[in-house]
Amino acid sequence: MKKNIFSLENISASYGNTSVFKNIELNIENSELTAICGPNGSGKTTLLKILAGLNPPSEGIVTFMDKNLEFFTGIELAEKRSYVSQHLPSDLDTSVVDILEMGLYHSTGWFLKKSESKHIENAVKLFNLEKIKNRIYRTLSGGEKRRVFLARGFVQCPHVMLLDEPTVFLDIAQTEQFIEVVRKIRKQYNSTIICVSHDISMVLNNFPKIILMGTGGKKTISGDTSEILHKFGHSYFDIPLSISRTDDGTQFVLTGEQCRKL
Amino acid sequence: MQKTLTVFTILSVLGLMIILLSLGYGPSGFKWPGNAINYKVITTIRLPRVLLAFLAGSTLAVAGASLQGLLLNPLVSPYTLGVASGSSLGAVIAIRTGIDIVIPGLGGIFTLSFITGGFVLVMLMRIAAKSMNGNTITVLLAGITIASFSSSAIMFIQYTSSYNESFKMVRWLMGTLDFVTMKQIYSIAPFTIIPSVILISRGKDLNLLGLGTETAITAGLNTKKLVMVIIISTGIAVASVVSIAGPIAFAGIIVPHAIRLLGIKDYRFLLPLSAIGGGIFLVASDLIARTVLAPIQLPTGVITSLTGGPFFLFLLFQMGKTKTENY
Repeated sequence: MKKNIFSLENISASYGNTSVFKNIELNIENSELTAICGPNGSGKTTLLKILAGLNPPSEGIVTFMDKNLEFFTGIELAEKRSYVSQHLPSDLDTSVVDILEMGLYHSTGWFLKKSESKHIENAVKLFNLEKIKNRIYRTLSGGEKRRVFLARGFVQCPHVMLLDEPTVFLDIAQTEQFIEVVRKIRKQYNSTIICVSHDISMVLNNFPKIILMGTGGKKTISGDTSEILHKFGHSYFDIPLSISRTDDGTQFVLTGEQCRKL
Repeated sequence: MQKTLTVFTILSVLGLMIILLSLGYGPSGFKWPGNAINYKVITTIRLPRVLLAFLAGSTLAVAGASLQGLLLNPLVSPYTLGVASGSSLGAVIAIRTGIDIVIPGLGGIFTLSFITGGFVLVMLMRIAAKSMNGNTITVLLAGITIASFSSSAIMFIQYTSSYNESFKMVRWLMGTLDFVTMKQIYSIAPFTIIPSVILISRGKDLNLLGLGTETAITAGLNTKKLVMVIIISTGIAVASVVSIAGPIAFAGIIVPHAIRLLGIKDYRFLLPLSAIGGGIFLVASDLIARTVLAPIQLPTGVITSLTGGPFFLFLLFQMGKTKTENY
């Protein structure tokens, strides 16, 4: 039985008077790949921000590494988890390497130490940034920008990474590369990676655990990805949805019209 | 890194040359400190003025660069948050009423101006303290509102003033370095130098903030504290400069951009280089102001506006020519 890195007790969130979700109870396992899925407006990003300690929940307690999340200081949290936002800046005049260095804000002084430069070199290699590492960020393509920010998150803390729609501007090849990188990080650092995503097929094949959120007061549920999606997918996304398996074990999702043909 | 060193060297040499030139040359022509009279002219008239110009210029440039970084807006100047307008209102009230609250050697205009600037600063701090996670939009809006309110109040007071008072106000509002003594410089030096050093030390924080508030907070930056530190430091620094020299235009907005156009974007280097650049810019402008129509001395603010505007446009045109990679 794996240890839980996050435990959520009775978590609710609201913006002003508008409730986003209520009474979430769930545990997230240590060193596991977990995806947060659900239709638009179900509160996936809000939940991720609560896990990251960015926004406090309106009710309930989040336990992170056996300690109440509220009791961590900003610097302590920076060492223990990294967060990559869905919204990235578009026009920074900073070089890629400088952005990666900022991942070490919590530990460095005015300039880098030697061991830290090595860590950054490692990130450059892992995220395939060798060719663009001296370029100015705003001259990069959308996919490259996302890779740079994912790498910055890795530099900050590879052990617990919270990613908001990391594959949203990536083409299929880059999405495949992203998944490979995630697998490598997890193997090397025994990382917990929690990822908000709309890409159900990607989640199905690569994230063993899922947190499925719904709109209209549906309960947030968590568990094994294929089982949860199989049972609850169609009602939570409100479309016909079924999971098929090819002979080699790859799973894929059929939705809507495709489903009816089957 | 190498670029930074090059810019630093060039600015230092240029700065030294301009300071020496400003000490040696004035409305009464070239003077060498060979005889007693010349020595006196240089040390009691020119030196305080050059020192004040350098101090004011570097303080305004550092304050401008920090606020541009904090508010993530290149159009921000050290006067955007309204502290300078508050200080100006105080000065105008002092001229209108003839109030002379005496801090020895400083005079009523300086004192009242510093107090009203401080009052605006306290208001801004209270607004900033209430905003979530150091959200700066509220502070920016409050600052702009305070600035335009102060301008209206100044216009009202000017309209009800005598011709003589009104002329004095207009002169003061242009920003000028006339009639400064060493005593005044000693009294404002700590209020400009300490905040500037604090601001320069926040370069790393401003770099991180540029990545976006959420990224910065999760990477360990205390944005709320940063907002406070920068508002307080720039507020004190700007109030001190404006209360002694008036709201000198342009130095605080164009100097940081000029340094950026030289390729320095990293706030750890941009802030100290802006300090040097701002000093040079104001010493040079003041040299022109004192000598170009000698014996008439123009207000320094007129020269900074007249030279700063075209110079900045020139830099922008140059920027258009260079490859997009460089900027």
